[in-house]
Amino acid sequence: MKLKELQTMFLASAYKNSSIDELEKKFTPAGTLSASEAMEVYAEDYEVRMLEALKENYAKVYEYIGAEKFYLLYNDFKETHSSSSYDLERYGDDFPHFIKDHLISAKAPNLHTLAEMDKTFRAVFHAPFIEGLASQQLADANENSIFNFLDTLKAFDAPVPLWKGDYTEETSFFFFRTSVGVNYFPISKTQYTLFSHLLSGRALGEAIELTPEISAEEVQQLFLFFSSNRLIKSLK
Amino acid sequence: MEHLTINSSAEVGVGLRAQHFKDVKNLSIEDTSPVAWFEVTTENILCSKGRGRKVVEDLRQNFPISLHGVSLSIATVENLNYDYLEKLKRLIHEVDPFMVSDHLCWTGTSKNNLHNLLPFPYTFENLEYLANKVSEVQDFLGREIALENLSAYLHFNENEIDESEFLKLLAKKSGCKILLDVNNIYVNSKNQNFNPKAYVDNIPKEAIAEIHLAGFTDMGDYLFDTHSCPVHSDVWQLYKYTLEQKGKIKTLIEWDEDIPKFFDLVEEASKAYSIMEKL
Repeated sequence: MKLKELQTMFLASAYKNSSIDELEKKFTPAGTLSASEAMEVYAEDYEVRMLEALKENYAKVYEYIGAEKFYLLYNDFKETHSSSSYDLERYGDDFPHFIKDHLISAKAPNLHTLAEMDKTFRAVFHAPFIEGLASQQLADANENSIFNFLDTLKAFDAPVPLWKGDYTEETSFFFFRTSVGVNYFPISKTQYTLFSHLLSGRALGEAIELTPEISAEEVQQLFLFFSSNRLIKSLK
Repeated sequence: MEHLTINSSAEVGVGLRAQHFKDVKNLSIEDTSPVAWFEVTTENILCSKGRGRKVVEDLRQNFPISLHGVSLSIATVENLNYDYLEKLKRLIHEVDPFMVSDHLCWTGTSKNNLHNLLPFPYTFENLEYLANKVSEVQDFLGREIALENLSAYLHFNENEIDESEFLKLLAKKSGCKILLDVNNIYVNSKNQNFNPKAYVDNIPKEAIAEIHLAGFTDMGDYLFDTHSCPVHSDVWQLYKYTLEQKGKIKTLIEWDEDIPKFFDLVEEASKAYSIMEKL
């Protein structure tokens, strides 16, 4: 049997955990296993590995819906999503979109947002640690300044508390990369709105005008956060 | 092409795991004796600039590092994955490992990766096919690689030679080295009913770049290579036999599931060191 033919059958059998007689005639199983049981070793290993990868990649989704529902969700996901990358971190890249279209969203409409947050968290986690401008380099900033933020600063405006909370109150927050990992910083809805305007390239004065409900204290707090964590890449 | 330094300094290493990042943060060689080097799983840092990469960058200031991959998939019928190889080449440049290794296996296809180390038939046709691919990899990376024998839960009836002969001939034809996993030899010898010492005897000393040791789990019907427990006493015996036949060889303790405290891992490394020192 040619290698291609054999590998095609092996994959089909292990991926679907199904017996293929023609394949099982081609090998001698280990120990006292039957041929089908030997293939099950590979099939079950695949199942455990991919479930574990999805669980790690979407840790908050797992925490939110629990092991049983997560397993059911994984079972549906794997039917249409094999792993096409050598990087297990990439498994489930389409999981947020899949959840949005899944029946589970009827009962948990914000679950896909939670999945997006998990995905963003991982992206920040694997990003290189870069320090932006120091406080003194921001001294000249004024209402006409346009801020360019580090890519490792991500804002979330979630309909439910997605990070550290009991999932019952609304919340907005930042993820940002630190030298040792990823940190979380809660912000108000208005701070989130202001940041969105800044992120779109508007000058500070214009962004504040577009966020009339924001207080001077909230603006000050936001910029203290940016400067103390060196999250601004450049300004003009 | 950069060549591996074989057996010039037979030392014991351990696999770096995230659970031990805090333990290794401020280590120096004196602190961890007999641990003289660390093995990093290539894929853990290949696409990441996160904490793991930083730990490796810091660790390499004090310790030699080897890169051990699981995704080369050298035996797949598909062409080599140059996206993977480009990243690996860049990583090698950044980490400067003393050794780059992977497994004698395939892991799936570009559309369906099982993320497992899968067996294939040891035929002369496949030997030629693999020798060419290994050479292609080594030419691209500009250095030798080592390939590890794997644990398998079946063996193909169309095998024309046994695994040790296949490895030996592959090393001879391609110039690659062998990463001899003594635990895998033992596990397969029980699962497939062959003499593990004969396997060891058939591997030329000069082809062995490194030895791996790990724990397996007895599943009743078969032995399962779980890397979840201490090295079995029979595997220690086979390791001792291997060193007696081949001399001192760099040895790594692997532990991937139910990972113990770093101190316990060092204890396991001490056992290998002790056997090596008594030669």
